[in-house]
Amino acid sequence: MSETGDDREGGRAPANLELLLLGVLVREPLHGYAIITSLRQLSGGLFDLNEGSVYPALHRLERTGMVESAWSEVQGRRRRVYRVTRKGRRSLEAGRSGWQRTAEAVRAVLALPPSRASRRRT
Amino acid sequence: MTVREWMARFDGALAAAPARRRVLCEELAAHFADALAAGESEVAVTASAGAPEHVALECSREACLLAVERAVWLLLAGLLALGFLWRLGMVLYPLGQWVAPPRVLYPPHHVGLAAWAATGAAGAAAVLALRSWRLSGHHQAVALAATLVLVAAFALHLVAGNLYVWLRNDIVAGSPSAGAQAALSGAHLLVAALAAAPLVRAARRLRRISPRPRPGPG
Repeated sequence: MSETGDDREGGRAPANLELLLLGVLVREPLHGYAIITSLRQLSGGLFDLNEGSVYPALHRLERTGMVESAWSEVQGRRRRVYRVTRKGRRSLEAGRSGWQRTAEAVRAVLALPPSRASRRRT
Repeated sequence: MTVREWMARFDGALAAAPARRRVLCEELAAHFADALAAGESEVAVTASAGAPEHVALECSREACLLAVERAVWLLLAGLLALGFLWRLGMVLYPLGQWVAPPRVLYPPHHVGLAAWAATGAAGAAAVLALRSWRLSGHHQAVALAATLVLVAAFALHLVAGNLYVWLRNDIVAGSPSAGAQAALSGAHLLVAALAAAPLVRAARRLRRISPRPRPGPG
């Protein structure tokens, strides 16, 4: 996972892993394990990330003020719950629009030329 | 590998301050407890977590950068405290003993003041750089460079500042006695050491886990 390639005023949108984590956390505050399972479910099993990449990315987001965390008791167990900050929401918005532009550009490049597409239809 | 073995190897490979180490270990232990409660086997959860040394390295990097950032704030607070205490001392200590009011800009004190201002500016720049996404790939280099600059400027401030005071005392009537001045300088150095030590410690940890540049061919 590299970068979204979205430049905006005052900073760059986070790399894709961080963007995905923000996308999960913006729905609701979650702890680490729930973030990983939620990401797996939302992506239909495509993003089955390991803890070794998710926790450092969460800590990076926290250090740069995109998310904040606090210990809380969930179902009788102490867990560190992460929530998106205002800065994180702004970054997510920027990253989302950048990602959409990238996806559209890739789709346009990878689309079959009209002659081949019509040959396939026939 | 069992969770206990994984955690022991993770703990052994982690380079972080004790408080941060506790938080990281507790967070990962909670994660494993959740996974086991969801019905996953110990072997599966530890395998999916990856090598404990690799996870520890990634977590250490973030913990060290966080520690450097906090230490820069502490150093800036120390800098402000030194400036405030120095001004307060200049006003309060003599209790009207000055024959002539002391001039602030005797050499080499202007060097100390410049170092004081440079340390503040460099510290603020370091904090901004460490929080910037644009520079996220270079945060380690920024943190290590900022530590060198800040500690050097801080040391310059201390040397020039104290040298100035000792020189000034020889030429301004009503100045503190040598003993009193030694005590003030000692306090000055103590505050500075307390403010700079966490930054040096965090930077040493960060340096230990940073990959060393490979020598080029030939």
